[in-house]
Amino acid sequence: MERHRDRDRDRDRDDRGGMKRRSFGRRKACRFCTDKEVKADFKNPRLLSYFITERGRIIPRRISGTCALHQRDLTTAVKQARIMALLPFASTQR
Amino acid sequence: MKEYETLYLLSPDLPPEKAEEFSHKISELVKSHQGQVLTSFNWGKRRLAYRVGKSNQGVYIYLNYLGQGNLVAEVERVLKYDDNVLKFLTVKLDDEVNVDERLTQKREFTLTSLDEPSDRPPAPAGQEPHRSQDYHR
Repeated sequence: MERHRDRDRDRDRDDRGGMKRRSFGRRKACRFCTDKEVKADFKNPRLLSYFITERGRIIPRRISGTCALHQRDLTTAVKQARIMALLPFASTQR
Repeated sequence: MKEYETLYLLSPDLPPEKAEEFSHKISELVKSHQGQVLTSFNWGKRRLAYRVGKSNQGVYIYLNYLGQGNLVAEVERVLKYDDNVLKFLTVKLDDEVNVDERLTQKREFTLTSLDEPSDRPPAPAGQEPHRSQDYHR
């Protein structure tokens, strides 16, 4: 019984406080999940450049919203593209 | 049989007909080692993301083929010993390919994935990266 009451109270607190729930503006969707036709390919630097910063670093998936599976493909593709000089390893110093 | 793709970068100083000749030579090499050439495509002269061999440009040639692992070694050996080849990269696309099946099915080879260096309208808005113009200067 005790436990049940506690659980209820905790839930109330969560709702009242609203601290635990931060509201995000928009749920980011994985680019490659939404469009199955698009594959992360090292031969497509135009697409890949969307996922790197201006300095040439790969954008983390917490920012870009890419899912884990596709982020793995993406990093491979970006690194291959770098080898072929399609994308920069690092572009221009700060 | 396995499916591979090789992209290699030729010196921009190489005359176009020589580049064409070279890509032909590589294709012949694949055929002479019980391989099958699926696609051979000259991507043309592109601006590089960084300098390679004192040059900011290079000619990309793409080759998609079927073959065994020793074929890849042979292709890469030839690329390695040619001074006009600045860079190359081979990627395995498929481990086990049914040759007859693969030859009959004409997979669409889209040029959208190989965007042209110039004279092309830019990609539809939204997909346009923030730095795309850098690549086409």
